[in-house]
Amino acid sequence: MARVDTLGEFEQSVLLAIAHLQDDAYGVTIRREIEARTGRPIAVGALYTALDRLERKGHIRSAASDPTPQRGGRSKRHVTLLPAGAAALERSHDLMQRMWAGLKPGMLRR
Amino acid sequence: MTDRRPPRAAEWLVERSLPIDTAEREAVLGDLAEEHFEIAQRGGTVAADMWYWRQTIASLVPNLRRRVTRGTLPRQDTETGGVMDSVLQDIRYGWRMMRRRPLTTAVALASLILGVSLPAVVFSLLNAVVLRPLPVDNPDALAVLLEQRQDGTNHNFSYPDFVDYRAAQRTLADLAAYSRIDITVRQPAGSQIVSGELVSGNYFKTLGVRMRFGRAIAEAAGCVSGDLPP
Repeated sequence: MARVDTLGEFEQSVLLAIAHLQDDAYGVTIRREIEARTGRPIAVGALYTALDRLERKGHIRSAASDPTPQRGGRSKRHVTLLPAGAAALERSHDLMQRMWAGLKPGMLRR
Repeated sequence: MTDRRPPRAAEWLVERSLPIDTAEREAVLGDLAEEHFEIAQRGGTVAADMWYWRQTIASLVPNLRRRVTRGTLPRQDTETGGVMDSVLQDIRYGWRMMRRRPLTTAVALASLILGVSLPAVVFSLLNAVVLRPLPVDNPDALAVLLEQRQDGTNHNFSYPDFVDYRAAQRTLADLAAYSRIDITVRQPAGSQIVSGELVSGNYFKTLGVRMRFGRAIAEAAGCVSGDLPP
């Protein structure tokens, strides 16, 4: 059976945040997007670890962009979702839907 | 006016824990500075500093892990960190590959050790035998005197002949005699045969070899039976 590249939960969150943010996706906005939607605090270090991994897998591309005075004159790592990343997200979504088929969240609790 | 700069110690910690990559450090430190600035504007410097410290502590382990594992694949569209960064990344990559393939590493190391040590051994032998001058005062002026017989072969000659040659010769500064001999040395544990040399009294003086301890046999030792150095 062929091995399919699957995404972890946090990787999915990062890719979905990038998809939501579109052209404005970089460290600060991605972190805020995930925190706002999940309510979980995200460490910058953990986020960049995931970005590295996703870039190595070919799911995203990153490039240095303009520095701003609020950033102490430092540039941003701007991130773009690639077609491979979008496809991986859709596969993960389909997989979860198939697993949930016939079940409802309320049914699992006794 | 409030200080809206991130806490220096925390910033230093983050910077040191991050991968050695200029663009990478810029991005992470820039993100933290940007959020610190905004939190300081909304809630004051203390809240911003506390947030920065929480981020620093929570990011230390992931940062260090990335610092160790990063560099296996080149990133695109980002600035490079200069020659030194590249060298350090190469070293880390090499170390990881060595650990991943121990057999290949062992074979490569063995070849390297042989390749380096063999020429070193050959050179040290050549150096001792051919290149390095003899440890005497004037090695270029040293000559070995042998007696040639009628059949064309070279031979040592007797001590009386040596005494005559030494008295008569005018070519060399001096003549000294030596002859190899096996000597039995008696010790408390038993006797032992060792290699030695019988030499004339002027042997050490002629060669210009000085004793590190004690004294050498004297010139007159060649004439007096049993006159040995202490």
